[in-house]
Amino acid sequence: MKFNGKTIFFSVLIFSIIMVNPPIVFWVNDYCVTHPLTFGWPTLYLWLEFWFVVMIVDFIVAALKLKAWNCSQDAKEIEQVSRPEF
Amino acid sequence: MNLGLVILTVYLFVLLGIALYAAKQDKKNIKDFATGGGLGIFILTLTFSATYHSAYAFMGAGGFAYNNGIGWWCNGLWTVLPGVLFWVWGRRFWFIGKRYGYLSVSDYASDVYRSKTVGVLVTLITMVFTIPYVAIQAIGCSYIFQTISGGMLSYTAGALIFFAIMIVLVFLGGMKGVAITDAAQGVFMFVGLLGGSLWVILANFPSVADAYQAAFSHTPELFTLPGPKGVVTPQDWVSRWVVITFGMMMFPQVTLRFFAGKNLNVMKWSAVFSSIYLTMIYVFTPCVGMIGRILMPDIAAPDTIFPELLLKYTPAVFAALIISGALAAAMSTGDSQLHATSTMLATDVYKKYVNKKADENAMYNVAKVGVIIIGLASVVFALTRPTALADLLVLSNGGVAVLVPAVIGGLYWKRATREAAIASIVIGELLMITMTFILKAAPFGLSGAFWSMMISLVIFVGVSLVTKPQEHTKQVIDSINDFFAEDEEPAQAPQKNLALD
Repeated sequence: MKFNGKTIFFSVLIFSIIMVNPPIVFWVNDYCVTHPLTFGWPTLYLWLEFWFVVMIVDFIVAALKLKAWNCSQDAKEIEQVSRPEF
Repeated sequence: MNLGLVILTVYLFVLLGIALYAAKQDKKNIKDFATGGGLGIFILTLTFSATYHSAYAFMGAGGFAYNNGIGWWCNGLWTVLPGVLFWVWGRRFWFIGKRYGYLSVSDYASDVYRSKTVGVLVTLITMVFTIPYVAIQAIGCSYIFQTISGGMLSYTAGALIFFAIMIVLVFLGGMKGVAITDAAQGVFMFVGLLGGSLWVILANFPSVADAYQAAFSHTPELFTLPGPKGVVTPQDWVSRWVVITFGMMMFPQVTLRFFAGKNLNVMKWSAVFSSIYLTMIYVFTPCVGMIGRILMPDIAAPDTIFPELLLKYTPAVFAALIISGALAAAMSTGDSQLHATSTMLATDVYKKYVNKKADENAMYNVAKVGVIIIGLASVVFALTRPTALADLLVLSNGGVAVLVPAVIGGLYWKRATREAAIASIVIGELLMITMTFILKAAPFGLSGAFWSMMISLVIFVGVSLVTKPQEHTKQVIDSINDFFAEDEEPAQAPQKNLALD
């Protein structure tokens, strides 16, 4: 199996989405029944927020580092094509 | 006239001033009316974000947390992912917009599948389901005017004021005017929602943690799923975020912004900053909704909890300023929706079926007439006082979410066919309407909108596999792949290098 930057970006994103969806989020919810607050904030909120931040950081790192996303295409001329009638 | 209304009026005049400034730059042609002539990072980030967050941000969100507790933060999925989709999908739309001159998604869908039927279906569905969404903004504005005037202004008057302002904003400046006023409103709603929420909390409790502790002592069910009313089940969770996240990306006011970036770098950073903006704005919203249960246990319309708390617990001037932010949230979405649907009316209906020889100026004028027609339809819908804002949001998103397979399939899958696009849209839409409005069915607890989206995906794939694809679809996808392929990084073995670049 081979990895590249995009694969890592999408893997982290999908993993984070799984973490904030059933059944995982409802397993965390079971824990929250006995521990509803952590540091004074709702435990479930903190769990969700943590993974949302992971997604955003993942996106920022990918935007900064991925060669495929470095927007070098901005230097290219885009040839305009007339659309054929149908 | 009370102080709140004075501040709101001043705010509206400032907005009109900004729109007038934008109007001076308007080149009076349909292309600039539609795309704004290429927007920069700051304006594109804020116009996308402010358009994405509607009256729901100030009204529906707090109301949902008030009713159902922490399950509301499922919402976070449809605040982070839109930025990612705006970049991943948006850059492909941006390129074909430049190459083939598409001005809207239905323009693209019609051409990529070489089918007028597909174009008409996309136009019709997005226009029809945008009307209830504009109505959400009208309802939000009506609540705001009603609340801030202490009942002096009626619900109907609020809706009519909304209509008048929307018409003026869109008439004055086209996309550039809408984008610039959106940017101003985006800043205002960000500061308003965060600052206003924090003030309300600290006016009643020593800290946010104390506020949560008090809310827990009052209603502990708010802190776990499925919430006090048993609404946020696993099925509700999945249905809600899938339908809203993907549905939102099909609305014309969002898709039009795919074509509006000055260049790819602008698109990329606008997408990143939008994810941050859309998610950060809600930091204190669940707390406000939850303490609303203690501070206003018998509120008639939970959707109004935030403005009501502001008026009760913060100084009048501050409350009015923050509520202007709520108005900003509603109007920045409303004007973008009216602008986008009227653009579709001009480019996808008038130009293609009424007057094929129409020049850019004629289409520009038709778009402006479209603003009045669609705006009026939305206000009439709002005056019927439909259901709660959060439910209306799911309904309108469900209607457009069935377009996802056909629209996105044509960007990536060379095997996609026009027959599949038509079948998936028609059957998906019929299913959505039947399950949501007629049978009111939710098999296995999943919403009708979710089922119709999934079934339309299956139909799209199945029919594509047994029908013959168009050569043009392949050409369009090849042109996209070629444009972006050159700089794709080579795959590397994991043991050699796991770094991103």
